[in-house]
Amino acid sequence: MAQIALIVAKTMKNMKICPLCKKENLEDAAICINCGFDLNPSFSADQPDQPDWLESFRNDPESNVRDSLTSDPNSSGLDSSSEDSPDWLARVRERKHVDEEFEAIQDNHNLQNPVLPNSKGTNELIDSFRNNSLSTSAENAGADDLIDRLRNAEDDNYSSEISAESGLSNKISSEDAADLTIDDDWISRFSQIENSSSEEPQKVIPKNRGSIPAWIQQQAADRTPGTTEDSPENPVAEWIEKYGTRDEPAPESGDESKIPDWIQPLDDEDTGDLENGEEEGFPAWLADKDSLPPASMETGGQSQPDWIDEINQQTVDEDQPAPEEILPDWITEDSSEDSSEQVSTVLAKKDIEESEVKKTQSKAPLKTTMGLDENVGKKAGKIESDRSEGIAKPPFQLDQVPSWLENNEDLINTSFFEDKETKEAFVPDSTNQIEPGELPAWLKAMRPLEAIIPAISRLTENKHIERSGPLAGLKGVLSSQDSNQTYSPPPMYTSTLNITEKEMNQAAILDQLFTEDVDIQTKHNPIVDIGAFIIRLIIPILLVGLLVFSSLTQTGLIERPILFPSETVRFASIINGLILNSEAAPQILVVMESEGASQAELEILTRSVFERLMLKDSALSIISSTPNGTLLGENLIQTAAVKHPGYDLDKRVTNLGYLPGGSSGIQGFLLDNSETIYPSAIDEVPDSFSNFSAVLMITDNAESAKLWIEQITLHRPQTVMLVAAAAQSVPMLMPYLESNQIDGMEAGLYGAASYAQLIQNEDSSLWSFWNMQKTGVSVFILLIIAGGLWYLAQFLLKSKLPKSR
Amino acid sequence: MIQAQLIWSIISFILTLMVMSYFIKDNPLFKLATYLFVGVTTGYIAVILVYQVFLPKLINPFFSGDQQQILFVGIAFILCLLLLTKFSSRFNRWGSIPMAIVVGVGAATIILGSIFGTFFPQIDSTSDYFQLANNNQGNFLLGLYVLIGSILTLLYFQFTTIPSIKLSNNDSKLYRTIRSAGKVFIGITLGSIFASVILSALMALIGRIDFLITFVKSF
Amino acid sequence: MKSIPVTILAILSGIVVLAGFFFPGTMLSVFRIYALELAIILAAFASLIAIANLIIVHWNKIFSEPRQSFYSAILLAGFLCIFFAGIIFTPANTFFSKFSATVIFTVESSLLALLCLSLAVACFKLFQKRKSGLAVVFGISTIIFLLTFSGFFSTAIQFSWLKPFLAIINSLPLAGARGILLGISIGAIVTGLRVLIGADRPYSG
Repeated sequence: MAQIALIVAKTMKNMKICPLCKKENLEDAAICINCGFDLNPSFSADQPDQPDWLESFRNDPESNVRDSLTSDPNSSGLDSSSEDSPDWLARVRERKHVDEEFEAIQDNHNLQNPVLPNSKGTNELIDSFRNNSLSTSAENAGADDLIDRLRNAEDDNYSSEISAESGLSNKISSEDAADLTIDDDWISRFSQIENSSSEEPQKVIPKNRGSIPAWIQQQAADRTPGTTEDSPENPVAEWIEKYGTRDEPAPESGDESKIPDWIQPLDDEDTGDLENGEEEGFPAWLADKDSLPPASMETGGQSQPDWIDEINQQTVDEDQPAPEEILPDWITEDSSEDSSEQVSTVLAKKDIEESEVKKTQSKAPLKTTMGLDENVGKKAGKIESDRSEGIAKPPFQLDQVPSWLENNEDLINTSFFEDKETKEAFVPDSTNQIEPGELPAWLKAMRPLEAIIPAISRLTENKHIERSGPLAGLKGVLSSQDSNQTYSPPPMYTSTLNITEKEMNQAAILDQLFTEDVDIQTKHNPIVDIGAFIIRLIIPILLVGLLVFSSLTQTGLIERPILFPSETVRFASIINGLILNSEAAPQILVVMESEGASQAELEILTRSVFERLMLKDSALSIISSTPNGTLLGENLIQTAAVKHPGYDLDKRVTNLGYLPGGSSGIQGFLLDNSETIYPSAIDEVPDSFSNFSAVLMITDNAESAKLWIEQITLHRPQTVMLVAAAAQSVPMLMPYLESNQIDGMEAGLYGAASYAQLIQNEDSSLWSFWNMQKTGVSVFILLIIAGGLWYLAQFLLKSKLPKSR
Repeated sequence: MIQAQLIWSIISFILTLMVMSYFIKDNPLFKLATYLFVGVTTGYIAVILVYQVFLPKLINPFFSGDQQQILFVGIAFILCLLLLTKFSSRFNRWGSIPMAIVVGVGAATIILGSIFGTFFPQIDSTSDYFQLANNNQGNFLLGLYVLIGSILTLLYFQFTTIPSIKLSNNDSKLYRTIRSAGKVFIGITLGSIFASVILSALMALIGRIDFLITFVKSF
Repeated sequence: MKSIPVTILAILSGIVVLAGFFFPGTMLSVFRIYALELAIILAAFASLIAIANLIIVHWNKIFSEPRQSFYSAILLAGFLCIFFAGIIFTPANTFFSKFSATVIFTVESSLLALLCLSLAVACFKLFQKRKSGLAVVFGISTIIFLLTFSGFFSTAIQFSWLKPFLAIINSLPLAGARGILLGISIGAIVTGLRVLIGADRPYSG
């Protein structure tokens, strides 16, 4: 485990950890790759004022790390003397001193400032530190290194409150912690130190106080506990007391679930170490630490909150196991679940406070206490989070800034969240006995403002940075998270409709309509299906059977038409005129407007006509505005030419082709038909449309015929227009016939039979069809009448039945 | 030649039966015949378009040597290429250019044809019944019938209303009466159209039955 | 906004055709012929694109819908057979024309024959759903015109009054048909004018 930790530490050595998003960056990175945070904040204005020690410290971070790791081989030795005490041990002692100092300050502060409702968002800051236990503990370890340097080199520009009883000097002042956050190289070193130190507890040998450096002892001698108001470290004391007076801890995110996995085993191991330590009895140094009652507690215990009193009481009785009934419920419940509870409730409580203090020191959550403090601190955080669960806090708030940072005028004037309570909490209390101290210029320059104040947040529009999962490190990718945080319950709407009576009636009618439809489909479907199937089967069989019977039983007696339609008479006379009156062979434009469905009817219609025209060796040019028209026209002419073998189809019949474009194509053809000439028969085609003797339109489509008639009327009104139309197009062509736009028409089988009668043409198939058609028409008429009577009877029966009932 | 005719007749016979089998129920044979029909028809139309439109109108003029023709055909060719962009969802708006020409020209020709090919001639034909110069006094009643019938039919198809004009109850009754009278003319005309469609369909059925009987008789 | 140039193009091409009609013998009439020719070519090309699209759809169906693949394959087989026969041997080829005519006209005639059977059933059910006065007029009209159009009375020469009666009967649908034609014409004119003033833009779809 230690080896793994060492590997991790070495790996981390060359990495920078962003203080904002806690992500690893390369050592030489200027800004964080995840959030863009400036990893090397420049304070050029104050740069020249930096002391030499800091300059050297920044210039040679690697060597410092190496020093902390390897230069002190005695630190891990069991027989190490007090002078050679390792950093971690010195730090533990310092922590103890800080703890005592904190209590003293807290007591003092509570006397003057009763509980202030402040620190909204403080815990977020703590959470941010807890979330990155690696970096924070590393910073803490690095702080020890800094302390060593400070011991050796620095003047008395700053000092921390030292408890006389403990004899330990707390070199980790808040200023130092702030410094640590600025220098990114520290972070990499911290990680190494933290990992190396995390495996130290088992090897810890309590050191006596003789290991305290002389300068610290001197400082301790100069000061007595409880006189913090005279301390030059007032800023430190102030922000510590601010957190100490929190009456309502905010939720902390530093629970175990947010600890990186790679840390978790270490914590567990540390806990195990702790348990072992408890079984074997605490080391003397630890017991000594715990047994030291802070002087400040005695002086300032009257006005502090109850929970602090309880803690203090526990601290007094620290040698004995703490009864659970003394503790608040929120502590006991949580601690009962924790394995670290076995160590000592007193120790745990102290560490709870300690961890809060250390975390609010922005960079030193004291990981160097070999996981004990860390673990307990996490539990404490969990406890607090349990207490204040559900309170949503913004990620950064101004009141998170320690008071030593608060000294900045710009920062004070900036209101980011407009939290009056928070501001009030930061207003220097004139009655406070602890006067705010003046920070040295170099320290002002080093303050990690960017890490604390929400400047980045302003720039990045407070976008959330993902900390885990595949999107870790990305900013603002889950937009719903923001809306989640600002979630408000949806507006309530009434579910009743405000409708008028008229609308209600209309809706009822609509509903009734649909209901009726459904009833018809569901109730009567089977009956309708059977009946419809029978009808659908019987009627066609009847029709087909009768037609087949009519076809097979052809008798010689066929009633031929005697009365002829007037249009057919005109049609026949014009055809006769074309044949008889002109010397040259007539040139007929055959317009085929049919897709071929009425092929049988059109064949009957045109056969006599084409045969008549072929007698005179007429030139036939076929054109169509439907793609299949020309094919049908050729077929019809070929069929008619069977009886006239002398008629040269290749020479006299020209396929002018298909005319696309509907009315545009027709108009284009009428204006200049030379463009549409089929090349193979160009000699047989007139130069222009006007040279055609007549237009014979063969159609079963009234719409297509209408286009031709319109365009011919428009451009060539003098053209002789003959129409051989299938019956289905006749009704819509009748108006054109009445308006003389059509000169003659042969309509349907009746027209074909009339024309055949007029020209005395014998066509057996025509009369066969004529006979069958009569049969078919009779069947249709009977069906209509029968159907009418059937449903009339049904209607009458239905109308009578309700009356009888 | 006779064998070839026989083959075509067999194909026609089979296809007829396949299509008529729908009379019993929708079945795969019917579907097969219709799909084959669609395929053959589209193939035929494609060939006709190539040989009767594109070759003579779009390709051959390029080799005619006539600069004016080449310029015109070049423009037509570019517009045809623009029509191809209709296949693309990204560039299909370029296909609107040739379509605009087709629609614009078509609209103009339809307007001309409707006005001068149908509207004026039909009105002129209706007014002919009332001309005293003509010797068709006997058709005066017929002319009146046609005139009234045409007007009532037009009014029957009047489905739009003018929002600014609100008809009173009396007007609504009159309007309803007019439309009811128009129904009679519409009913007569639609009856005649239905009868003519029946006759054409009956002729087609007769033609198919005649073909089937003839084909069977030929064996 | 994007379709404004296209709309202007549509309006211009329509105006050219109209102006060529009203001013014959001028350059406008020449432009009119060119515009018409252009419209013919483009309409033909549009038809070809429609055919290509149909074939592509069925080609894709073969691979995407196994149930429909057989019928789509039949469709494609028919298309390819006719298309290559026509392209290679020209439309004058006997196989091409015969095969096309056999399939197209046979199926179309058979479909219309099938419609006849459906119409027979429909005639029986003519009064099943519709029992209004219009239905009665429609039914009576159908019966009368079935008789007149089929020449049912044309053989009965013994009735002298029959001829003028038939003439009157044949004129009855004229009024309604003329009204319908006028309505269609008015609708076509309005639609065309809407296109020419840019109110309707069916080309910008």
